[in-house]
Amino acid sequence: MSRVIQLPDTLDENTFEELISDLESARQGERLLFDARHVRWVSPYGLIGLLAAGQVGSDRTGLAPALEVPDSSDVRSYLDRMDFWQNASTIYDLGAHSTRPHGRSDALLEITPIRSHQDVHHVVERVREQAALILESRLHYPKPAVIQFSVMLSEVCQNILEHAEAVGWVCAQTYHWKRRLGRDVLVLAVMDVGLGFQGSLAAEHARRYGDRWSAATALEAAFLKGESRFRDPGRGQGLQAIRKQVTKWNGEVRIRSGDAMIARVPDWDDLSPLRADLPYFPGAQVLIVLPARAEEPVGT
Amino acid sequence: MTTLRPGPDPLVSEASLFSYLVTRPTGRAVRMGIEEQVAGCEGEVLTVLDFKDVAVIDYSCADEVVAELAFIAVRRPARLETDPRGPRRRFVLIRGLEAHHQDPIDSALRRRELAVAAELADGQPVLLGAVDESEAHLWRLVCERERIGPEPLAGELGLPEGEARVRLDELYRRRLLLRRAGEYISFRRVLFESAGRRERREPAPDRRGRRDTDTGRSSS
Repeated sequence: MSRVIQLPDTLDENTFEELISDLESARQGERLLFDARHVRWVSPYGLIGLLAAGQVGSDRTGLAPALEVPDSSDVRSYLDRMDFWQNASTIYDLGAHSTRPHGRSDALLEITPIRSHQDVHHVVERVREQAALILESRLHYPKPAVIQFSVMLSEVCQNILEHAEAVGWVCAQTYHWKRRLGRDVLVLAVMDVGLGFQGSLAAEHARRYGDRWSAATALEAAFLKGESRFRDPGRGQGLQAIRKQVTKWNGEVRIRSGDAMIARVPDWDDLSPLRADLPYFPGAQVLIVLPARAEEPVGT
Repeated sequence: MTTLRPGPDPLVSEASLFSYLVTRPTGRAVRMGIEEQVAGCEGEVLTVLDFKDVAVIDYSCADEVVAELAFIAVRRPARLETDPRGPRRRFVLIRGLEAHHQDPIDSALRRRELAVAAELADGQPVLLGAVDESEAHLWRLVCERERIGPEPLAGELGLPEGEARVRLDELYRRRLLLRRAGEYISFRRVLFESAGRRERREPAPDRRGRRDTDTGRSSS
């Protein structure tokens, strides 16, 4: 028996719920087909969201899902450049589709799997030069911003290794958000399909919360109070530091885990800061948006 | 009141660090290398963490390296304090500190209510972590004087001598300065004296420019 999961024509953070809504009822032995033929635009969140959705589909059915490639040559070319197929080949049954040789993308960071701390080192060291260029010349951030960005990248990737106990992916790209913001933005997406915040923090915190323990309270505990799965007081700083830094840059950070999502919402967005009514999806999905400074800095 | 006797000069152990101090396992490996280097040392050891070449330090690594070393220094097991060969005490100084290192280190220390002495890249002394303004003021005074006893300090601050001593002892307990023969000594002074001793002992370089030094040095 097989089931077709029709992908939305825009694949990003706003259509992720649509992408995963059909997965909840996937059954063992059922063959899933992700139909991406009509996809016209993909963001970093959409790209690794498709990997995450495929992985969850595979875990639930016990079969590698199939993926129908996009009709749009622009989208296919973008997926090539972002190393999507290389990463998808370990999750999806791609049939005859093969990765074509491609030049370097203009992305800050192509899809990179995070399996070990060496991967985190690799990512942080690799992006430094280009991040400096983007943060300074496109977002007009002061010089030290590249170091703060590196620290943020390191902490958000380590979150996968510390809490997920599963593979994760990271990807970053810059855009000009003409309609939404009228400015350039840097978009960073990090995802895994592991334990999630509720599962990771349960042993240490669930009893204290009693009946109120849920994905939403786990996210609040980690994101707002700096609580961690470890008793060690030195733990739990990473997300706090990310929230503080993103706030300083008037950016957005949202973390989805289980059936909940928590966000630091900037004045330019109207996202709900906490939601607890989403379709269940394992692991944690993080989106960070850093907007260009509103005015050109003088003398920095 | 504790009787203070001059002991042997503290050993200075210098640690150069990786450019990218990111991730907990990296921090753990760096710290273990530093600890190993001074594990067998008796008496007092001042570990100098040289941040000159550190491009990035994240919060996890700051916790594993700096906060953990500070924790070990303050919470030494009691048996080491009563070691018949003399108490084994550890102190930590950060040098070459840049603005971008400060937030992760300061935050890691505050979470554990610890503090560490540091020198900015221009040599200016600063305290990082959980310290109040009166502690920081007193510590800066000791740094300015390099070595001072409670009596002259009490005079300067307009405090009773006993109170000055208690406050200086608290800085010593937090391993933010050294105590020797009734005086409290800044780490900079310790380094200066250590360098002087080394210079006096050090043979002139041979024709290839090589020389031996007695300073423990590790590259982590």
